Amino acid sequence: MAKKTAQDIKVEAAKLSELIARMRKKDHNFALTLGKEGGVILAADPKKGASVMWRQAKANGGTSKGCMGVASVKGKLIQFYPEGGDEPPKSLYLNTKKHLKDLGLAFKVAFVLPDGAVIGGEDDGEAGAPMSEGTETEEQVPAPASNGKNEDAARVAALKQQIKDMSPKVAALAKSGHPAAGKLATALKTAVAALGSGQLDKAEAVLAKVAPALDKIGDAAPQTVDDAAPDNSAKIRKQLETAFRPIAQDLDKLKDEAGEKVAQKADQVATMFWQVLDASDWKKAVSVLKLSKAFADKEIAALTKQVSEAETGILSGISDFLGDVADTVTNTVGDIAEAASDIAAEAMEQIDDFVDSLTEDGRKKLELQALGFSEEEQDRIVAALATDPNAMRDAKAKLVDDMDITPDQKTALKSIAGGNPRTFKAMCDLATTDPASFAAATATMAALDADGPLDVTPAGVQATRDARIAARAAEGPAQEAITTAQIAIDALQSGPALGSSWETAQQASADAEKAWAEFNAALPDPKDMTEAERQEAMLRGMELDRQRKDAAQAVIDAEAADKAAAAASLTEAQAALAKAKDDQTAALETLKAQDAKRGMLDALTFGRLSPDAHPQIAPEDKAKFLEVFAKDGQIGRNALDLAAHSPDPSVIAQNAGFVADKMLDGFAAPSGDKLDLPEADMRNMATNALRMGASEGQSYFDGFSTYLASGKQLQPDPHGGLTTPLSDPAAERQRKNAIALSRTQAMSAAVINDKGAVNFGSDTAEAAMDHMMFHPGSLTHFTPQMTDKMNEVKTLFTSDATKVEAQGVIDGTALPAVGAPGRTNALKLVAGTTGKDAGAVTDADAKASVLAAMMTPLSQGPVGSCFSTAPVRGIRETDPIRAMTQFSELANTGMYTTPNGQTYPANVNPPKGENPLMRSWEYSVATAAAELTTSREHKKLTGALSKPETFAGMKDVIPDEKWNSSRDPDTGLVIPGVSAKLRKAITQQLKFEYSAGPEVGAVGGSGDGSSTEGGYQVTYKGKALANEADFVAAMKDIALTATGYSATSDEGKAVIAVIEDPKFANTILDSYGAPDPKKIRKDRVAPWNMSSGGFEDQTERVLQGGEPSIDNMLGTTGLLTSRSGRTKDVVGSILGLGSTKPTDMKLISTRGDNANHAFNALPGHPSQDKIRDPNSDAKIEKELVQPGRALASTKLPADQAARLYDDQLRALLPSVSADMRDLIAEAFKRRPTEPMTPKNLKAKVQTELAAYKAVEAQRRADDWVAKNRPDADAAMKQRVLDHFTKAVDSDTSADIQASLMDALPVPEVVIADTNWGGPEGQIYFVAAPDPVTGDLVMWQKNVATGRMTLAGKNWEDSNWYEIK
Amino acid sequence: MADLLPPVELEFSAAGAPVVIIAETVVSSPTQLLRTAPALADPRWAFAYAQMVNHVVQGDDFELIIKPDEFREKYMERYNAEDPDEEVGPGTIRLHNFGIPDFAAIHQPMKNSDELIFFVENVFMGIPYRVTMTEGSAPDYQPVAMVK
Repeated sequence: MAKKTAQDIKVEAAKLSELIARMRKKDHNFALTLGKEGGVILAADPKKGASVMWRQAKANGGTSKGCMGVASVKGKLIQFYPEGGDEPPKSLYLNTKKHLKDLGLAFKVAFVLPDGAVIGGEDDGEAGAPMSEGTETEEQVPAPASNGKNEDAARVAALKQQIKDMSPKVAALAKSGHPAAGKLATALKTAVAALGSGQLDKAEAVLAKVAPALDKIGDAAPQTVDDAAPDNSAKIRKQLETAFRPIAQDLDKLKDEAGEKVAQKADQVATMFWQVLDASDWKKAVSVLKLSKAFADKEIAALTKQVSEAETGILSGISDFLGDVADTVTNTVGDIAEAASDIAAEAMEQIDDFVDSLTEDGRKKLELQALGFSEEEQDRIVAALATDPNAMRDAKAKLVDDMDITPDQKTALKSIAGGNPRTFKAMCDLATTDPASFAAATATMAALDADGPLDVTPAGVQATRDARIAARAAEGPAQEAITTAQIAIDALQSGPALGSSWETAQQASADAEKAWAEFNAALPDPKDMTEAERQEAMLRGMELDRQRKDAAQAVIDAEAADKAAAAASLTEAQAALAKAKDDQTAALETLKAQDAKRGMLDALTFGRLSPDAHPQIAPEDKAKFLEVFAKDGQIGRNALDLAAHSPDPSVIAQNAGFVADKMLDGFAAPSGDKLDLPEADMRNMATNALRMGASEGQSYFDGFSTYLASGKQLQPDPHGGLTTPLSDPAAERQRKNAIALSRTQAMSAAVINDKGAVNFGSDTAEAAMDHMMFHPGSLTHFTPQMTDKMNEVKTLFTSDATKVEAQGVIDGTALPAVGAPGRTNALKLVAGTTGKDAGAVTDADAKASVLAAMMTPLSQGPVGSCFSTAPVRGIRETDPIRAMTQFSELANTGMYTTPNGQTYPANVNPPKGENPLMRSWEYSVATAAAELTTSREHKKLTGALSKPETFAGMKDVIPDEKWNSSRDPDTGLVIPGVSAKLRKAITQQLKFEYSAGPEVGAVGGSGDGSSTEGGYQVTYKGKALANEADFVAAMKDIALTATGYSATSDEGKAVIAVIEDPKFANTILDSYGAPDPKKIRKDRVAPWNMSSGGFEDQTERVLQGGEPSIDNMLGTTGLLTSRSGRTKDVVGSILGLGSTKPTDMKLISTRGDNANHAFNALPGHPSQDKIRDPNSDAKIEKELVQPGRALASTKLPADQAARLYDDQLRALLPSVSADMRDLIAEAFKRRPTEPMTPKNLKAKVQTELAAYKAVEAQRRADDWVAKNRPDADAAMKQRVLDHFTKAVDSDTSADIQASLMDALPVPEVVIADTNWGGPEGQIYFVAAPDPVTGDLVMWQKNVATGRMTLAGKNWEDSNWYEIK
Repeated sequence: MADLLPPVELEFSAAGAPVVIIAETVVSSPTQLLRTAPALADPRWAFAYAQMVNHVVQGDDFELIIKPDEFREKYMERYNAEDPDEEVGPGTIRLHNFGIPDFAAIHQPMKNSDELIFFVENVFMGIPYRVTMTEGSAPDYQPVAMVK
């Protein structure tokens, strides 16, 4: 052992003195060990846990022999309170005293053991005179205060017995982990102490409370929470609440009576418990409960210090006569402490940190602490901030200087030292954990900082934004100045401006000329003048002439000066304008660079590249993504977003840089020629290319590279993909339809040769496919669902499993023969599908049209009906050969024949612009289904009207010869009587028509084809029978027509009387359903109030035959009522449908408020694998419900909240006018600065965008009124405004919800395909938690973009049916 | 024999199925009609035979076309009253969904040898069907060709 030098001893003594001084101010967690080289090693800290100190002590030369706990210093006494059952080694006390003495520190040492025994301490004699173990005497240990008093031996004996009886019970509770054990043990301990100190009243009082508590608890063991089934959740929660109740009382006491800091901690502990309880995290709740217990006990004990001190001595002192009782009590306390110690230490540290975070200084310290700065350094740096505002930054810079990284990396890291502390910490950590990614990140920062360090703090970004706004503001005045200057210049062409120097000069010149002229005019004949007069006149003349000439010159000079000044003004204004534009451009470029840098740093701090990201990006891909940010920040972020939802993130990582490079180069051909498109359009193209690559894999990017090298991207898009979108929705839909149809026409024509063979491998076919995949038009008006279908068709014709059958269908496709009944309609369909004239189409066109129909996504169109689309789509998606056969038959025959032999002319009237052949199949099937439905409804109504109380009752008031049918003697034809006429009228004049739904709001129908409010209605003479009165009126009209009676005739009145008799309508009502006491008359199902919904069962019947039924999926009993519960029921019912493969579809439907829909469940979707049986209920709870609650209750860090907030605002910018930009720019300044829950963030976005929303709603309302109702009155305008106010609010709400879903790790399960969509995307129903509310709810998910939109509670609340 | 055509009623059973009551015999199949009323073989009763066949097979869902000109006028009146640019949903019936039929092909019921030929209007869609039936077989309903 090397002997310490005097200097060593001096330094060590100084350090220890300093530490002891701090311990005097505040209790420290400590670890004290024997030193490897003698002496002892002490490590202590007020915040870091004792276990941390233990590691530190060992790292500083300590052995494993020692103890840890809490230490305090009072006067010259150092008291160590070992915790966790650590018994200090026998030599520790002696060595500690010796060590202090060796260092020249005159302190006494005491170890206060958990059982109250004290080693050393005040009575230790002089410092340095050790008291050997086992030398305690009765004098040194406080004796029971009752000794010698002996006032009430009977009471003492009774108390002893009580304690003796209770102790084993408390010990048993402690061993079983019962949450109440700690408090009971403390109470028992207090009673023992009171007894020991002679406070018999107190001891009795305490035991009086313990006894009933023990009785109440009984022998119940605590719940084992790890494997707790969800059904037990309520029970567990109740148990935990019960256990926490007494602790809560203690915490309340602390909040009221303890010091400020302890009171704050008590409040935080309580809050923490309720939060984890609300999140149903039982395991954590138990931990926090233990922590709460430990904390409360400790601080309550401190509050009742007097009792505690007495107790400390008493415990050991009375052990002789309490025997096992005291041992049991102390063991119980020890057990509790041990169980809670680790968790408590860690959690206490967190609470300390939280308390610190409440103050600015505290936050700074925490920031420094996270970076590894010592307590002393933290104090020093924070103190220095008072005089040096850069102290923090400088400290971090020094930290960077000490890191083992390159100078460039240091420079990059230092550039963010003054910014987001979490980001700086994340980067420092990255340098250690992933040097390759760190190198890529710093290289990207260096590239972005090439013109100087970019300030990416919110203030720095805002400054750039402000500069841009200022530059834009300067543009207007500059433009005005140019106009003014130009006007001035133009005006100067015709003369001087009033009051100008030029005009003044002109006036002066004129005056001079006048004077000159007057002088000459007045000049006498020289012969009449004297010499002197001539001399004088000559001089005068010379003077006037000089003045005249000078004045003329002055005019020239003034004119030149004025014109020069005007020109200078123009030049100056032009320069100002140029500067304003340049400044805007520069600010925009800076903003983009800041966005890139900030985007990358955010991704590393809390985004998709952070340690907490889910899914994790592979280390080898991280660097690739980071490099993209140096090229284009937005592409970098988009690539990461795509990667997060891609099965192969690596392919995006490896190619995002390539795509970004191409974008920056204008997607140039080798010739150098580039696309002439706006930057935003090219960025959109690049993103869509990445999206294609995400689904197609590396081959896509290889193909893209080849395509760009070919120069084909510079050719125009014949399909119109680069045409400008239209503002009118109907016109825009037509534009999109035309593009989609053109693409399928081109693709289908390219893959089929003149002999009808389908070949996707021909040069023509590959060129066409390349166009669909790579051309700027295809990547601008992006139709990924259609491209998927093209690839699917390609697979059908190339897969060994299907290619023969597929080619067979095409081989069998030909136009109907001339004269065949369906030829005309077949020609129409083929011509419309191929884009040719009906008179020119051939069999080859018929084959191509089948392919084109197959390449078109069969989704529900804008005027579509789910009840026809869903069953047809189900076949198209699951049995494409059958779908192709159907298309072929339509082209072959111009007819649609149902499986049961009914034939219909092919429907040739699909919505304009849609693929005629594809849509004809759906519409023809719908016609057949609607006929079946109508026939069914007619029979129902005919049956009702055949009853004696209805039409049949008219027989009594109509002569038999009129009532009964007769016969034409010549033809034998039966001539219907009134009875038959009434029946036929019902069939022929009462129409059952499906209505997709009423108009939405004040401004016309939704037009979205979602058909969620649809249902059947009965019409008579083109008018819907909306109520009972309408129906009765129609019946009277039918009856009078059938009878030929006039309403005023006696016969007519008799007929009307039958119909107006209440029995008539009552009988109709009863025929449609028995009276329901829950429904008033007008709500009962009747011909004038048909039940909502459609005819999906009849469509299924047309397609599949049989008699499909509509069966309730959810059952009728035991249904849950909460939103999460309802969604769980729905998800469970989907799982119950069963499936054999992931692509399975099962026709289902819903009936509910604005939720009438038929669609296809996806019971085999892989996302459901995590919740399938066994125990699917518990899995849904664990995988979906619980994570949702946790997400909703967890505050987003301020930087992440700000990022989401900014993203919301930024997303609005491209589509708004300049004045709206200013409103949004203002909102940027109010970004979040504090952590907030998703709910609060959403509320903040909505609040801060209030001004924008109001203006936007007014703008939309004004536009709508101008276009649709220019003569609208004030009331109408208000209704329109109300509609758009709601719409804008809904839009922004949906945006923030979508962003939250994208940014947060929200679990989801796909349950159904909605039918909604088209070439651009498809919408699924998804069950996922709402991070705003924490509820498990239903969403609509766009499969192409991943965007999630809340479906609405009405979907969860609706009835769900299976069609089978 | 024409004068032997028995009394006929076009009715529906209690269950709602169309039936033809010939004299007192309830006939529910088209092939039973001739056996029950042999007079129907006489071309003179082609109208009545067609009416009975159509009723027993289709009930009120198809209506016998007796006057082709009236049918054509009614059809075209309805056709022309429609908005050709209207976008209709699936299952919503418009004559534009199908086109203009070959009216020239539509004629009154007739017998051609042992084949009964007649035309009917599908009440739900409003379009004409051509029906052919040979003795002993079920009638065949096929849409009339659309020519425009």
